[in-house]
Amino acid sequence: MARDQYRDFEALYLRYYPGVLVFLCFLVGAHEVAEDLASLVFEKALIHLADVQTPDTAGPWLFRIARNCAADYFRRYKPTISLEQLLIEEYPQAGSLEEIVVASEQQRHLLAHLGQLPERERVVIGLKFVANLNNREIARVLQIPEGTVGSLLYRALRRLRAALAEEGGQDEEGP
Amino acid sequence: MKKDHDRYTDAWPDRLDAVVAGENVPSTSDDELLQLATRLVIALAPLQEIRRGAERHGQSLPSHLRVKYAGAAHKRVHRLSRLILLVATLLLFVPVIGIVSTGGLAAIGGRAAQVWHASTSLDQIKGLSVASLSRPHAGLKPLPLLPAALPGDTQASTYGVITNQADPDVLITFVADYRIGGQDVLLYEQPSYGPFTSSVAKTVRVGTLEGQLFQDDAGNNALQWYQHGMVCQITSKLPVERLVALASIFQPIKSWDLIL
Repeated sequence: MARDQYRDFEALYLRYYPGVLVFLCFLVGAHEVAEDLASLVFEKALIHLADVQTPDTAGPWLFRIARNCAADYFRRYKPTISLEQLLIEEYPQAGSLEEIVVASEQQRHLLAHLGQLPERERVVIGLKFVANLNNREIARVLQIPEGTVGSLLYRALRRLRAALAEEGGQDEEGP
Repeated sequence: MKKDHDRYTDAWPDRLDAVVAGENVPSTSDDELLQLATRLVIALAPLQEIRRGAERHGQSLPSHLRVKYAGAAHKRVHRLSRLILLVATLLLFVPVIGIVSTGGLAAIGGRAAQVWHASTSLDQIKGLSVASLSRPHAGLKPLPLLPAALPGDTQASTYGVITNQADPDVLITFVADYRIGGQDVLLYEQPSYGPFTSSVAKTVRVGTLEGQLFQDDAGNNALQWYQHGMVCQITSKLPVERLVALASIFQPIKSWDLIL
């Protein structure tokens, strides 16, 4: 295989591995699992490297593989997503104890509801907020029109807000 | 509630982009969803630390992907099917077992040096060379895997490596023979671009990985799994639980001091 093809693959890896890794962390909620899956993504990418037609399609293609790998992982092992544990317990925020407790509790609720969103909406939030892709790239990952990405994000946030509001309402009604 | 502001417009995606990029913090009069987006950015911020960590450490292609790449290149050039590779592996496996098992027993008797003399007979296999581990293999690739710690009742161990004749640092096969708890334990490893699967094997968990267990009527257990670009197999009459426990702590060799 030509030397420059090796360099192309290495460049692809160096450019996209961090983003793919955190996207998978977001989806599966476990750093070690995400690392294993990210390796798998690039192993699959290597096998199908010839499918990449232009450099700008490579990123969305890798994230599409990552989404499929995460879906396979959930199908096979049916794990519970523990994004709250990964983000709050392993990366505690700075501040006073009271601030940390309050902020952690709020974030725990937010992340718990995030984990309850439909897979497609969680994916679009992960691609936007974690992988930092723009709407055009997200559209290529999900293979939908670019204009649909904005409304999908909007719908996901609305659903999240509704879940939080419902929980708040339940709290107020409680003893 | 500020439902009046909570409407999807053409400008909304751009405003969301600004929030995600940290260029705009929505005020209380802004769309509630944008405020929620800000909370999400904060809650998910630790993931950006993981990203930065990966960016700092990822300066080149990791070894397992280099091996995969080499494997893919090899595959493309020679169009070797997995079946052929498996047959070749098994054919190679038979003579290696004999020689290294002898070595394990020899080590118990303090005649380890003779193992290498015996091993050199593998030179007769066309296209292969035998590399003694009497010299450190700092450049060997891919790295073989060994258990992070041997069980307390390990009585003896012997190791052997077959490398590429043209490039002595390219690993073809790694073998080790242990005497543990009065039983021989044979380890065999070969670089591969995927696990070998068998419909007759039982599936077992090896740590976070999936392994295959083969058993025969004579009480031999063979546990095979795929890790770090290597197909690994340990064979012994030791109980399956002990083999699984041993396999679960395999890792690429970090120090050749372990086996020299």
